[in-house]
Amino acid sequence: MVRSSRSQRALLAGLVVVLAVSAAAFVATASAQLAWQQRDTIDFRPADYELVDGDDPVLRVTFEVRNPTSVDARVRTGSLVVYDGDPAAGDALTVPRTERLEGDRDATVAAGETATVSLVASVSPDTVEQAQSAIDSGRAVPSGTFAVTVRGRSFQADV
Amino acid sequence: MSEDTSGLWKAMTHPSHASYGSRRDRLVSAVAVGLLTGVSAAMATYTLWQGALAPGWAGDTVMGSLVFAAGALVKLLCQNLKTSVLALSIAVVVGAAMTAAAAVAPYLLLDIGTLGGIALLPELRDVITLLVFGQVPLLLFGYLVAIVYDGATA
Repeated sequence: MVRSSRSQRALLAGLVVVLAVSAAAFVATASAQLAWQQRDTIDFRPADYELVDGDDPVLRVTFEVRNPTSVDARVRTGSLVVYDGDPAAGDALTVPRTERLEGDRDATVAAGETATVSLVASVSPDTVEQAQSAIDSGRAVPSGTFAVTVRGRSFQADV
Repeated sequence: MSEDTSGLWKAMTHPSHASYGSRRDRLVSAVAVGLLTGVSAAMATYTLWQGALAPGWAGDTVMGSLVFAAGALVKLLCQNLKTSVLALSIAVVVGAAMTAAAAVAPYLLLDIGTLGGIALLPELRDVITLLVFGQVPLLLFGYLVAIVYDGATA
C-alpha cells in the first residue's frame, strides 16, 4: 500500500531535518578547514616590553595577535625567548622554558579580530640591566613559537 | 506549462505516490530524492572525515546516523522498489562526487598549488576509503533496513 500523504509529508520533513543538520555541520567544518589551510595568516607582533624588577625579575612582552581567519583560534605558549639583538647571536635575555601566558593557560583570539596576549618570562638577575638597556634602545627581539589551536588541530606558529 | 510544473511539484511533494506513477513521475521522484539524500550523505561524510575540525555537537555518531538516515529515506520516500533502486544509485553517485569535490575544494578556493594534481592524491585516497568503508555501506544499510521495515508492515 502506498504511504499516506501525511506520512509522506512527515518523511519529507525528516529529509529536510537531515539536510539541515548535515549542512550546518558541513558549513562549520568546511570553514574551519579553510581557516586551517590559511593558518599562516595568524600573525604575532610584539607591541610592548616591560621589565618588572624584584626578587624574581620578569620580562613582560605584550603581543598583538591578529586572526584574519573565519574561526576562533586558541593561543598557548610554545617556546619563546627574548634576545638582545639578533636571535642567531644567541644573547638571551630571558631564561628559556620560563615563559608563560599571564593569567590563563590559553587565550582565545576571535575570528577576524585582534587580541593582545601578555607573555611573562623570568630574567636572570645578572642580565636585568642588560635587559633594561635592550628594551630602552629597542634591541629586544622575541624569537620562538606559540602553539595555536583551531578547533581540534594544533600547530606551532613562528614568531 | 503550469500543468507541467504542478505535476512536477506534486511528484516532489508526494514521492511515494510518484514512485508508482508515470515514467516521468518516477524519474522526477528518483532524481529529487537521490540528489537530496546524496548531498546530505556527502556533507555528513565530510564532517566525519574532518572530525578534528568539526564543532563539538557534530560527533562521529551523529554524522554516521545522518548517512544511515539518508539511506533509509531513499526507500521510505521512493516507495516503489524499482524507483528506489534508481534513487539509491543516484544518491551513491552524487554522494561520491560531492565528497570528492569537497576534498578538492580548499585547493581550488585558496589557489593552493597541487603539483599537477599529485598533492590531491592522498586526499582522493582518503575519499575512496571513506566511500568504500563509510558512506556507501551506511547508505546501503539504511536502505536495507527501510526495505525490511516496508516488508514487515506491508
